Amino acid sequence: MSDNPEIQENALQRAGIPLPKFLKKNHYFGFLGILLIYLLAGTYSQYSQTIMNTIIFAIIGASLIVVFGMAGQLTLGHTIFVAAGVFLSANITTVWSRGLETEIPIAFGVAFLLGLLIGFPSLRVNELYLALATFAVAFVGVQVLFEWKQFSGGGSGKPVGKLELFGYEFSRGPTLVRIALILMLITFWIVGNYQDGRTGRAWNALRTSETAARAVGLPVAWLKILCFAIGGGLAAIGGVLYAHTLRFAIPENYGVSLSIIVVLALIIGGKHRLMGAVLGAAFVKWLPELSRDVQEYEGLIYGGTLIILTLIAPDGLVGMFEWVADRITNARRSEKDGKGDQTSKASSVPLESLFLAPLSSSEPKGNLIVSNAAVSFGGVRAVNGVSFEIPAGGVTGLIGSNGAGKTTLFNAITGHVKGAEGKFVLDGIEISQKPIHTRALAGVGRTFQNLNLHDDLNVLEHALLGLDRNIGYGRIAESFRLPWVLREERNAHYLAAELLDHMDLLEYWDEKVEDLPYGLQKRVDVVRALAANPSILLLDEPAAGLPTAEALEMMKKVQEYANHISAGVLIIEHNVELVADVSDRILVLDAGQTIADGTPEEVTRNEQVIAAYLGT
Amino acid sequence: MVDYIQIAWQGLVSGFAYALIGLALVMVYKTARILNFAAGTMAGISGFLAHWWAAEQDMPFGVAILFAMIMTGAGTYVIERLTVRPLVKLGDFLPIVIMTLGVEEFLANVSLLWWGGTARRYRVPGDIDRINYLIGDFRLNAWHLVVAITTFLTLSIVGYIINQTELGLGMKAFAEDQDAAKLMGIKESTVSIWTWVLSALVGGVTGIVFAPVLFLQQDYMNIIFIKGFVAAILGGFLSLSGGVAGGLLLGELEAFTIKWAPREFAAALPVVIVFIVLLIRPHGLFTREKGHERV
Repeated sequence: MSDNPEIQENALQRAGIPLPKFLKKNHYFGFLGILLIYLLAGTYSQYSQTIMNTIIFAIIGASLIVVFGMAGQLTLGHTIFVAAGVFLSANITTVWSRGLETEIPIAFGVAFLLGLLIGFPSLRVNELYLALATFAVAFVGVQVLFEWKQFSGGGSGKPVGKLELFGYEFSRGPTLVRIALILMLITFWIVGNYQDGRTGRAWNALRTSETAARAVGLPVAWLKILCFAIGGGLAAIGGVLYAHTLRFAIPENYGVSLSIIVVLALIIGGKHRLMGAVLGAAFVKWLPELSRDVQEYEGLIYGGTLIILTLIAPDGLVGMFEWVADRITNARRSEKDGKGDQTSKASSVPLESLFLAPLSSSEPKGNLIVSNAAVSFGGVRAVNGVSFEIPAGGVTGLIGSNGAGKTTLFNAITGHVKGAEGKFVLDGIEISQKPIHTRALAGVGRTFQNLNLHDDLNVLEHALLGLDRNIGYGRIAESFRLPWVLREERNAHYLAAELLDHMDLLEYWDEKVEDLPYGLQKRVDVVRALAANPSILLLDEPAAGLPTAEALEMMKKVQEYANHISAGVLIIEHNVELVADVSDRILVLDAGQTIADGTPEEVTRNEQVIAAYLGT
Repeated sequence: MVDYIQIAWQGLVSGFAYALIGLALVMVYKTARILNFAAGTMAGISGFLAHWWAAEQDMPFGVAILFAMIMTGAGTYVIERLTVRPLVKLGDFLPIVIMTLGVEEFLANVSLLWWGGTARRYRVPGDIDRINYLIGDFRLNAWHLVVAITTFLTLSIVGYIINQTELGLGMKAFAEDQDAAKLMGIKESTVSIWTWVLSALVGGVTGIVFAPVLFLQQDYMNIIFIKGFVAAILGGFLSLSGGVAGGLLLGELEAFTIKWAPREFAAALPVVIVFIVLLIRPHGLFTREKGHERV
């Protein structure tokens, strides 16, 4: 048996899932584009100013992709970071007489810290509120700058010193464009790496469903603050360049209107792609170059374009191009598909594969002790003093009529409901009163009754989200795509592929979850929970809405996997037949209390249960 | 002592502006869960229209105000139908917020092209804004009195509409539970559009009545918009009376901060308040915390 996964027949290769590589096709295109402008910068020096502005806006746009495109935090206070870069640059070059080597790290660092601070309200409020809170930050930021004359020079502004790097002075014009291009390359590299790495995946997840992101164990609060810090730091680099282009820093330029323009530019270009940042910047900066008339109606055109694009192409110009490209490739692919070249279903057993086999464990886990759990909504006690113990490694069913408090009990265990009383102990560790993601990391895995999936993410990414906790690279390593980042990502991809294979989802790995039929969506929900290698898996009505045969098949797979990793399963289900079939033991809830507890045979014969179910 | 009364009165007058805009923002947020970023600019355009018609187009002041209000209502109606309505059925609020940003950008530039970027000061009939009464040492500007009266009138009318009319009932039903309201046969699009119009009219009144207090400049209502938002946050964003109370409180806080604190701090006050309130009482100062979030 070979240890090298490359030559082993595995699920990843069968499905043709590409492995993460150091450089992708996009990287080459991007690099070529930047190289072209780099070489042409000298020839077309009359456009230096516009090129420069475009680059700066592209950098700011890329930094906004982090905050808004990925993490989904609509911020209108982004110029405060740009302003930080601009004024730090002005002060460093004039007061300290230092060059870019000092300006960039300091600007990045200060804006990073500022971002930690500004990201803070995002924890307390919804996105709508946040938009206005950051709007207020932008608005007031300018006023504070204006009054802080020592730092900003007040209304008359502050001059920016020489353009230097390690004591070498550079002329502006084409040289500045070249320096800006290099910085743009670096920012784009960093943002691109986040897009491909675990942090970007986590940001995308929290954007599309925060509840589910927490349940899978992602530290949502930290991730939110981090997006502001990283986005802010990168925007400040754009600010430093801006300072050197304008050569004069005036507070009133960095107010609300600039904040809105950078957001509009990114949305017009397309907020999910780096190319969108470039297109948006080009749109905003080259349009006024066309003619004087355009210049006058600039803002009108931006506003109008945004209104129209929001209505017809919410993903911006890039979204439009991708849509067209998709249609062309789809048309081609369907011609090919007609000839019928289905990938043969392999005979190998995923659970015995090189990647899932090591997860096998003979030590049962998932011993959950619930004592005196209680949840009330207003005057209604939805869960009223429930106590039970689930032995490690077994399957326990939880049944009860509608409104009996089953899902609420789940939410109390996972932390999704506030103010739950009682004590929950999982494998000897108390998890009550802990935040949701801590409980998840402690081993609580769950699915949702109403399918909390992440739209925009494909099936494979859902599995990778579950695996996030096992991916062992740091966020700094990720931003530079260091070798071990790739190694860990590849391993995660192999593992995810096997898991998908086990749940018969492999052929759909590339599909967006919202395009899948309901039954498969349920499986994706389960896969995400299973990938996290939980100690106990809480399944909330996994069979609801599925034909019994399909539900049974899925449950069989889940059970196989749970046995494989020796995890416990607690399952809420209305289909008593199915529960009796899969469970070792059944708990019955009624009106917030347990009314029966025993083997399936005992419970189905229990008179109280029959009364509760049949209403006699 | 008179000093303090003078400051308190000054704070109250600015508080009226914040309260009215706060009310306008909360109204739309409460019924439709939408924040209208164009609210400040729309209010500014109403103010500009009224005073411009009166001063430069020789319209009688009352008629100019009436026309401006009609324009505001009709304009809002069209804007809501064209831009917001098509997005509501998508069920996601972010595109709507972005849309209102686009509308903001568009309208701000329309008014910039129309009136230019320089500040103007138009006369009001009888130069009321130049009349000052002296009560002892306390100086009372006649226009500030007009502002106070208009604010009370506006608040009473809004209160009447919300508590006594069918529209108000619909708004309250939607604020309570969108789905249940729809099931009860209340038409969402009707309630939504009249809420928008009502909110824009409240904004318009604010724009008109505060134009002589501030200078008429293309973006003169933006600062009021921000502070109206802070007022709404103080009030918990879901309570109309909370928004009004928050506005008055903010006005006072601001007036006394300017008196004693350094200017940098006074400028940062709104953001400081936003952060503190979000930290300590995200549900506002005057309302009790709402229950749970459904999973």
